[in-house]
Amino acid sequence: MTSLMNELLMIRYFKPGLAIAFLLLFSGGTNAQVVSDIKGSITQKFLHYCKEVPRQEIFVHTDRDTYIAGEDLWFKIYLFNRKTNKPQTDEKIAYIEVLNPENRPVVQKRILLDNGTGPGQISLPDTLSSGIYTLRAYTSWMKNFMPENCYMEEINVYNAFRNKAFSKISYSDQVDVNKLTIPATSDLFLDVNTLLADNLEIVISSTSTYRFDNKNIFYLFIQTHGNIDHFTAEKALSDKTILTLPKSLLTPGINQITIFDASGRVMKERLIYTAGKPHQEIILTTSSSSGTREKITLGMELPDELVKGLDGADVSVSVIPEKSGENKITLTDYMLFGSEFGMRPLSLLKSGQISGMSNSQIDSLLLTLKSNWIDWSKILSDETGFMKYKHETEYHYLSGSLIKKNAQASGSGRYVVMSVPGKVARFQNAKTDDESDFDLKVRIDDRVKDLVIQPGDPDNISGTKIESSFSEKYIPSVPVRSEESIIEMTQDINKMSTNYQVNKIYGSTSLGPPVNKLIVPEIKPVRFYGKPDVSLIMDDYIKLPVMEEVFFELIAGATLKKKKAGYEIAVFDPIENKIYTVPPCLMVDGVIIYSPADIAGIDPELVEKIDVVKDKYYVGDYLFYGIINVVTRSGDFSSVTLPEYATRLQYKVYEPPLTFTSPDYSSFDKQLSRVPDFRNTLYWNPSVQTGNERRAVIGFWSCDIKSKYIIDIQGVTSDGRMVSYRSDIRIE
Amino acid sequence: MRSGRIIVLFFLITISHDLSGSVVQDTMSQIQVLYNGRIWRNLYYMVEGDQFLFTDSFLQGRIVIRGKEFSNLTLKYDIFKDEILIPLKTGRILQVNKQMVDSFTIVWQNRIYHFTKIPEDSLKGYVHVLYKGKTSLYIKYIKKIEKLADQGKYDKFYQTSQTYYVKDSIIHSISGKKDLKKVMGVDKDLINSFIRKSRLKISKNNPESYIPLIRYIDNLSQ
Repeated sequence: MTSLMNELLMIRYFKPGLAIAFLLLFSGGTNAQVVSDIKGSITQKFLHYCKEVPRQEIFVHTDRDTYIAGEDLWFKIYLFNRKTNKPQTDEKIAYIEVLNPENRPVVQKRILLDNGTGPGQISLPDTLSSGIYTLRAYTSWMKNFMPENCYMEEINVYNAFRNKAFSKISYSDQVDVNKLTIPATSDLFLDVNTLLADNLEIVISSTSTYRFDNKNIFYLFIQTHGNIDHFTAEKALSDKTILTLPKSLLTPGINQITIFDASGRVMKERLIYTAGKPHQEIILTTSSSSGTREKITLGMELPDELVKGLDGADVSVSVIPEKSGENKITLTDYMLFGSEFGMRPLSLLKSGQISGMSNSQIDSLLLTLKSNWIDWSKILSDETGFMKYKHETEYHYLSGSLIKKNAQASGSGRYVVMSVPGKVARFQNAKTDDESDFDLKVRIDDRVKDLVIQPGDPDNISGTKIESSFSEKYIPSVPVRSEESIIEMTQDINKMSTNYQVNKIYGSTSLGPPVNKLIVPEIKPVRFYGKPDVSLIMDDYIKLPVMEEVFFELIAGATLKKKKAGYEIAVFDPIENKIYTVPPCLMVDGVIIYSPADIAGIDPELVEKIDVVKDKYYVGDYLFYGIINVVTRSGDFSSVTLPEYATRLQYKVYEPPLTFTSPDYSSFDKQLSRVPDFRNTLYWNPSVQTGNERRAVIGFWSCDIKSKYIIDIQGVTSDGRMVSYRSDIRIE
Repeated sequence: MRSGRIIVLFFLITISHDLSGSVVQDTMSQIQVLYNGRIWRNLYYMVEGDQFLFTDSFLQGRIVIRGKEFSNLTLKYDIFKDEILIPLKTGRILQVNKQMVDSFTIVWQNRIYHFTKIPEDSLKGYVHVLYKGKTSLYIKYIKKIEKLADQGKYDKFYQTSQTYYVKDSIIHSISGKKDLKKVMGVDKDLINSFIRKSRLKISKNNPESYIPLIRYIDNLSQ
């Protein structure tokens, strides 16, 4: 009771007269207990949901938003934790793809994230037709909430040689929020006045029926990005209750107001926008204009108010022709909504910053939106759902499924084994779920891995299918391709197209060498079965014609014999001194094989050594009754035909990013070069770090095209605050 | 004694903290890293005593396998075979693949014993780390079998240990104060003066008594 009274006394915004009345009304201990239970239950469920279903958001800073088919698209991925609004530093892989107007991927790449950011480039195929394509990016965790929870940006691609029609995607509209989550009630209404300078006015209109049924109680809950800003029990004593809250209580961003009735049921929801304090993000010093082939220097300084006491910021910088990126959304604007409220706010943002919208415009927009993360029906029912895709913080996951020979065969709870052909045997297993699906972990590096994946027991299995690691869930769309949408190659686009063709003719490219710093050191592989009991080096012995004789003459404790039903290989239990009742695990170059005939058929000349483990051996809960690994001289599993139920693939977890290069005119000779410099992206740098001094200076050379260029800077400070800044420069 | 209990309590709290963190995040793959090894079978049940360090019971501990730490474990250290054993749910005992293990820790009588694996080309196997600085001091515990069966008695396990001092990657076997002074490579008067001033009692029966001297010499050379 005391705590409740304290709470009521602490409510600064309460009408003073009402406060006394409320205190008198709350004289019974039972009511206080109920209030406390409801509040505690909702808080606990909300926090539990936000912990179990954390939200991630990606922003992709691209160099431009308009490209010519065949050009390179440069980008930097920024991954954020929605709750903290700061970079999500533990996730290591991002997936980026370009979807065509038919909503199908034309380019896909996996990108390494380091401290929540990852640079890269995509070479757009020169066969692409003109159209509006979609760049989308997500993480493995975000795949659980696809197609909504991903970054999506429209990019214009033009192809002067295939310009018959200009196609674009038209995504189906989102459903109105108020029809979706709020139970129909005419007993309680919520209105919010956001127009006051410092306060927020919340008006609750309730009927006498509501007040009677709920003992005059309702709950006011306000959250922003999964953080509870305000949660109080309130009294509705008359038809209209007005509550005034200081806006400073709310986290800047999109705030969700929820009204619960006395039993904790959602009665009304409403989204409002609270602006953050405006601040100067970057002080940029550069000349306003430059001549062709002249050095341009950009001096960047972070103001004290932004980075006081910090190590500075890491930003990406692009310098591009005005018409190729003037409508790009900035990081700070994008993160206001993220993907949480669907695509509608993003299309509005593309035509202008949120700061340019009036309060009534923002209000009317928010009335039509719904969070696809904070869903009270899920929160209150404690149903977080099954998360198929794991966080990729240490390993990349390769998903797949076993294909059963017939529908009756059981596909769940079966082992799937993965081997890496080589002289050092490596082994990993997984178990299938009810859908016959499995996940195997792969070390995150940029090396090509040779993987063999197969069932642990091939009975009734016809194949092993590996899923694409990219999400195949797309927002329903309607491609628009009509006679009316014949491409209009404006003067600017024609210029860009010509520039691209000229660069191609002269072999000019912005693709530089790979960025070295991201290369992950190789860990020396170790045999998974440790030191074998027998390690027979074939060169130490006389040559024998067949493997049967090798086993008979040289390997104590293991036999290879031809019987009526075919070859049999057995291992003796070294302690019991009798053959195990279960056949041993047979391997060639570390890859499990199930037919002893495969080993019997290998020419002993090709064999380098044979390892035998005689004891029972466990890996996880997978038990081997002895292991025989025949290592060939080539060590590449080429001596055995891959069975049809197995899959072998060459797999690279991510593509290392390349550096952006541009011509250097520092010498007189270079300045006089007759090779035209028609760059469409004048400069791109995915990582400019200001360091402790909070300053950075970058330099590049201007090209031969006289035009107005946008300097687009996006990034994060060392404590995770976002930075977005735009300026321009003219080349004359 | 009390401080020992506090250390163990801290150790156990850390263990449970680890469990709630990354260690249990991906159970299936983590299990395959930890539970990797042969089924252990006791071939010496006819021998009097046991082959383990301290006790034949499983002790609280943790293992680091290829850089990954596994906490909240119970384990035994078989010093006859120089293998770490962990129990399986099935009741069997697993001999953890030594090639994969980096180090392990066991708690015995409120004291934490940290062992590290020395590469195969030198000491071969696990050693108790008494001191690790610029130089290191290790103890290798060994159990051997005393053959008594031919006298109508049971064979018997007995324990020995050997102390090693590692300087400049060279491993020196230490049998006493003289050996240590010899391999330390510093002026003997300096050593003797420190021992006198600090009133150190160095005994070969208590290799831990070497530590203050080693630390002193390490600090001198910094």
